[in-house]
Amino acid sequence: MIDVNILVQNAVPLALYVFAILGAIVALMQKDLLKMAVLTSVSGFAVAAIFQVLLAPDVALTQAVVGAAIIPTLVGLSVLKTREPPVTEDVEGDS
Amino acid sequence: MAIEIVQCGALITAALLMIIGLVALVYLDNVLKKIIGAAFIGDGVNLLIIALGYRVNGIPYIFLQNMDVNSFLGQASYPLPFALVLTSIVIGASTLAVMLALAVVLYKRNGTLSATALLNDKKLGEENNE
Repeated sequence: MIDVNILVQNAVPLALYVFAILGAIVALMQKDLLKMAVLTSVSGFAVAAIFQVLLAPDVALTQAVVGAAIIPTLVGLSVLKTREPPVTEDVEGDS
Repeated sequence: MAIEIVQCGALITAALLMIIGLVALVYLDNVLKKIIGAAFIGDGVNLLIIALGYRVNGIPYIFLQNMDVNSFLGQASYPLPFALVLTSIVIGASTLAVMLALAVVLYKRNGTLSATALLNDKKLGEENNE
């Protein structure tokens, strides 16, 4: 007889740990940098859910916003900026 | 006993995230991937501190109306590291934004994001010698 409560209490956090680690590894193994930027949010959201499991709901809210939305957006924007060929004359003129 | 697995797994996950971030910082070539590795190290440290404040069979540290004070103090998790981590997450995000902006400036000046190409660049070396 399997107790469903204990199974759920253990299986959900373990799945979240696997998601956090594998999300980080897969995001760093991508060759396409835009895919890396999108896959960064997997690890961030898994870490936010782990915070919820570890009895810290306010930290989970902040991490869900920052780790799953803001950081991938910033990384994606900088990837798009660095895909264009650089215009060296303008930068040297500015500085 | 069943829920102690949760805390041990959280500590192991924090250690693995920090190791992944360090490996990315040392061995990966792209500057953007190094920056993402630094973000993963920050995530791991936050997770470590949160896991240390966890209490087995506890409740969140929110005091509701019909709770007994003594049972709340006996069951609630330790709230101080959570308040510190709340600040640390936001500071980590802003630090990441500054690092990404510096990487974009580096690309606009040198035309590449590869760390070895940047270190072997002759123009960069001449500027440093002057």
